[in-house]
Amino acid sequence: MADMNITTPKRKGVQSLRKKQSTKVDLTPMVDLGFLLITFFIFTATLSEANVLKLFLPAGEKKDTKVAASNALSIILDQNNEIYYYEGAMQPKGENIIKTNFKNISSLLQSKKQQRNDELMVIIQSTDQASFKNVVDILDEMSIHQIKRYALVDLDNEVKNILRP
Amino acid sequence: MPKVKMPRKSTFVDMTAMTDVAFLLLSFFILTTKFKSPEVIEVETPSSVSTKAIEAKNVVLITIGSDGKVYFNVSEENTGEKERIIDFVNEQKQLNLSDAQKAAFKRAGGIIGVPFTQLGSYLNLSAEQVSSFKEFPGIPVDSTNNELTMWVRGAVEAFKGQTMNLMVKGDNKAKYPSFQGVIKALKENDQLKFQLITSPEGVPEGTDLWRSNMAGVKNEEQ
Repeated sequence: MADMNITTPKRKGVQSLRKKQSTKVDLTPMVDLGFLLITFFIFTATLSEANVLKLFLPAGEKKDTKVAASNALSIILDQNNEIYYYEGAMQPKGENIIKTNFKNISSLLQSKKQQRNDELMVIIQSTDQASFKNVVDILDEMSIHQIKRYALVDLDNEVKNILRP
Repeated sequence: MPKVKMPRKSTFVDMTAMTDVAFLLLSFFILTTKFKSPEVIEVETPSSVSTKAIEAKNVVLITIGSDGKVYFNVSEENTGEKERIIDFVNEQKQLNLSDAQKAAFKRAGGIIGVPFTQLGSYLNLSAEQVSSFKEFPGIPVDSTNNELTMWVRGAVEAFKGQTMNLMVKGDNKAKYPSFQGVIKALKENDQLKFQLITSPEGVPEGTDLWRSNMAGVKNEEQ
């Protein structure tokens, strides 16, 4: 309770016939309840929030943007969160395709970004076994490293033949 | 020596002010809370560092389930647009839908997850049957038969002159071909800008975005 009993013992004989009842209501439980509900609403409010990641697609075949091979970095998303990548143009038998994972691709993108700055163009391809999470994760890496130029394109047939002979 | 009499003070704390504050905050949180609308399809979205809040108006939502099935729906408030979409699709595909079936499309909580061949019988279901209907075949999005293209075209026609918020909500486990099919359907309709619904995540330290956030640079996304 919000108070303590400190009533002084009354002198004998002067005892009043009726004790005066206090009109004070103890509001402590009400405050408890109030704060309990507040915590509940705070938690539900933050949990339901979702946000959006904007995505712009390259405008079809009409505007085929040419990229200098030296600035291009192709990333291929594959099953089980595996990533393959190659720089510039692919060599005929795919000798320059390197296998990596999400942890390493982040540092690779960071160093590439520092070397080439805004000239860097990342081309993202996915095999049919890649998951939607992989796609969003790699797009997320683009925004983390502030890479302005990237494109989500269909899987190149030559690459497909090398990865799935 | 006479004893010094200390006046006894009551220890009663007046809780009224505290109650006032507690309930003021409570009413504020009740009013600002938006509860999640019940979802027909359970989707676990991937996370991203994006901080852009989700738009609530004029939403055209394409959902990709964990099994790769694709669903289409339009926000509840846009009944006029929903009517135009179903009219457009009905006309284009010659589905001969009745007025009752069209009304079923406008009904709250309606989500489309069936091919055109089954659309008529799906719309014949009552609201209760729909909510317990779990075995959606999904809208076909493969390269030979991409029916989502028609739905998106209907939405583009219906939202002409307004800003349409095209959103894609995909499950973590959904495979790429479904997403590719969705992209194709959007590209066919020249809808090159869209938004992916994600859950928030912290920015890793030491990266470019983290540094610019620290420097207080407003992240401008074109």
